[in-house]
Amino acid sequence: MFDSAQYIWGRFIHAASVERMLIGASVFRIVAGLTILYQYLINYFDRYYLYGPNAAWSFDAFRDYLRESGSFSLYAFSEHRLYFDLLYHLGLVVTTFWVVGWHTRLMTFLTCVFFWSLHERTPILWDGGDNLLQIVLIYACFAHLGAHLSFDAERVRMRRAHDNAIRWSGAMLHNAAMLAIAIQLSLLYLVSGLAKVQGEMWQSGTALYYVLRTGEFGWSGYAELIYLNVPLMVALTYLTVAFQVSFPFLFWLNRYTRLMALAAGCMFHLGIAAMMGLITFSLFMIAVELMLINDREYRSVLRHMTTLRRRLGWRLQRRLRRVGRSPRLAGLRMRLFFDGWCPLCRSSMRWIRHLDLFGLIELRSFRDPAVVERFGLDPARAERRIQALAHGRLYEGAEAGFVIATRVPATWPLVPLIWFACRMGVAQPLYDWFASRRMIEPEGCATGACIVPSRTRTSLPRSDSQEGY
Amino acid sequence: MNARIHALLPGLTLVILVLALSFHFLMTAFYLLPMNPLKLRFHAYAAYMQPFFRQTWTLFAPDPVSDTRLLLVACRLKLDDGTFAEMPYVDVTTPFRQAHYANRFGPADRVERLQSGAMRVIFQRDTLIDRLEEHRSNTSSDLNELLDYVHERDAAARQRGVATLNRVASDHCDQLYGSGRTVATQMRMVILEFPRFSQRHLPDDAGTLRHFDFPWAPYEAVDPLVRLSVQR
Repeated sequence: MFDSAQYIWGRFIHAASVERMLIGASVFRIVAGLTILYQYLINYFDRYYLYGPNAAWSFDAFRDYLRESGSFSLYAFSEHRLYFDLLYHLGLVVTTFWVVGWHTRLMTFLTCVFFWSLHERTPILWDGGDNLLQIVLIYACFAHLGAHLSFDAERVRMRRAHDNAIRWSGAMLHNAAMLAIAIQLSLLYLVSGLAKVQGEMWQSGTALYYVLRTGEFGWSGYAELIYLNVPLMVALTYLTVAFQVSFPFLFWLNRYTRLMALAAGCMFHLGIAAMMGLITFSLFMIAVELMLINDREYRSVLRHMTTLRRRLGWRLQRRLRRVGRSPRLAGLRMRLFFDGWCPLCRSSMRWIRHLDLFGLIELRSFRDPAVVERFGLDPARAERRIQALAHGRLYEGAEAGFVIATRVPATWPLVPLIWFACRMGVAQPLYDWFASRRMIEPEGCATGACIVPSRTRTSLPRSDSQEGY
Repeated sequence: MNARIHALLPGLTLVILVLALSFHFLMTAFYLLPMNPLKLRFHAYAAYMQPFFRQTWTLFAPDPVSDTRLLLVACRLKLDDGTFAEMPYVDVTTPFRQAHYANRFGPADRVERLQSGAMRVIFQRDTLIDRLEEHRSNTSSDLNELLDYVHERDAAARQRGVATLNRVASDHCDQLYGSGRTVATQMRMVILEFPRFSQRHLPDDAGTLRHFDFPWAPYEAVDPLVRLSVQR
C-alpha cells in the first residue's frame, strides 16, 4: 500500500517536472513583447501628453491614484522630464531584449515592472487586454519564456541537460505558472460570459448592434455590413456568449476541445481587432491563447507548414538561388567566419542561413584548422570579432554585420541604421561588448560542463581594428 | 544531509506550489464573485488581490454601452485689447475617431481613450451601491463605513476625471487659438442615443441628443499633442 502510494507520488512528481508549453511561452513572449513595443512606439511623439510629468492625467492625479490603490509606478519617483524620458526609453530597451530573448528571466521581470509602471501612470487609457497582461506577466516571471526563438535558447537547452532536483523544481515552477495562466484565462472568459448572460441586450441578440454602432467601438462604413445583416448580427451575439461561457469547459475537457477553444479565441479576437479597432486588446488576448498550445501541437503545425512551404516555395527558392548564383551578383557573394564554439553564434548562423534567400553567404567556423589555413585567417582576431570576406576584403565585427545585412533581404530595413551606427563609431564598441561576453563551448562539451565566458578565456592583445576598411 | 534535501526538494516544491495555486485562485474566484453577504463580511481577499491581481472582466456586460459620447470644448480667450471672448463649442472627440477609422493601427485610438476613459470615470455608477444605500442605518455600522468609503473614493475619481478633461480642453484651446491666449475652458459632454435596434435603418441624427455642461474651469498648461495636433 505504502509502496504503491510512493510509486504514484513519484510518477506525479516526474510528470510535474517535465516542462510543458515551452514553445507557447516563447511565442507569447514575442507576440506580447511586440505588442508592448507597439504601445510604446505608436504614441512616441505624444508621450509627454499621455504619460509625461505634465500629461493630461496630471501628476497629482497620478500620485492620488497610486496612494488610493496602493499600487506603485517607477514614474512616480520624479517629476523631471529627463527622468521620465530615461524610464520610457529604458522600458523600450528592456522590452526589446525581452522580445529577442536575451537574459529572458531577468528581462521578463523588468518588462513586467516597466509595463506595470507605464500603465499605472495613466490608468484610464487601458482595457481588459492590458489588465490580463499585467497579471500574466507576474505569473510569467516564474516561467521559462526563452527556451525557443531566443538568444538564450542554446544556453537553456544545455542547462536542461542537467537532470537534478533544482532543475526539477524550476520546471515545476514553470508548469505552475503556465497552469496559473490557463486558470486565469478560463476565469476571465467564464466571468465575462456569465455577466453577459444577465444582460437584456445579449439575451435579445442585439448587443452587437449597439456595440458596433457606437462611435467608440464602431467602424464607420464597415460595421453596418454586420449590424444591418440581422441573421449574422444575432448569430454573432449569441456565439460570443456561447463561446465565452463554454471556453473553460472546452479548454479543460480534452486536447481537441482545447485546441478548438483556443482557435475560436484567436478568430474571435482577430474579429474584435478589425471591427472594433481594439488592436492591443486583441493581440494581448491572442498572445495568451497562443501560449496555451503545447509543444507537440506546435511541432505538428510546424511540420505541416514546412511541408506546405516546401511544396509551394521550392520553385521560388530555386529561382532566388539561381539569381544569387548569376554572374551579375558574383560580387555580392561572401564568406563568413564565425565562432563554431559559441552557442549564440551557431544559433545566429542558423538564422542567417535560413534568411539568406539568394544563397550569397558561405558560412565557415574559424575553429576548423583547415579553414584558418585555407583562408589565411588570424585565429586571435577571428576569436575577438566575426570575420567576413567580401569584395576581396576582410570585414570585422559590426562592419561584417553591415555586410551581412546588405545581403539578407529580411534585414534590409536595418541597413541604414547599422551603417549610421558604424559611421558614428557606436556599433563596433557595442559589438565588442557583446562579443566579449559570449559563452564559449569548446568541442566535446555537449553537456555544457566546460562553458566559459569568452572574456575569461581570452587574453589576446587588442586588434588594430579598422585596418583594411 | 545535502543528498536528503535534494531528494525531498521536488516533492516539497510540488506541495508548496499546489497550496499556493489553490490559495491564490480561491482568492481570485472569491474576488470575482458578485457582491454577496460573505464578501461584505470578509475584506481580506481585497487586500490580497489589490493592486497586483485586481481584475475586471465584465467586458461589455451585463449590457454594452448603447450611445456615443462626445466631448465639446469652448474656450474663453483674453484678447489683445484686454477684453474676453467666448468661442463656440468645438468637437474634440470626432477627429480622433475619424483618424482611428481611417487607420486602425494609428496613434489616434490611445489619445481618444484619454477622453472616453475620463468620461467613463466621471459618469460610471455602480447600481449595487445604490441598492446598498437603501439599507443604510442611522447608527454606525460596517455597511455605512463601506458606503462612505466608496462614495469618497468615487468622488475623488470623478474629480480626477473632470480635471483630466479640463486639461484635454486646455490643450485643445491652445492648438486652436494659440498658446497662452486661453484663460478658461468649458466642456460639454454630448450623449447621442442613436436609433434603437427596431429603427436600425435610420441615421444617427434620428436618435436623441442630450448634453451635460461642466462649469467654466481655469486654463491649465499641459504638454501638447505633437503628432496628432489639430490643424488651425
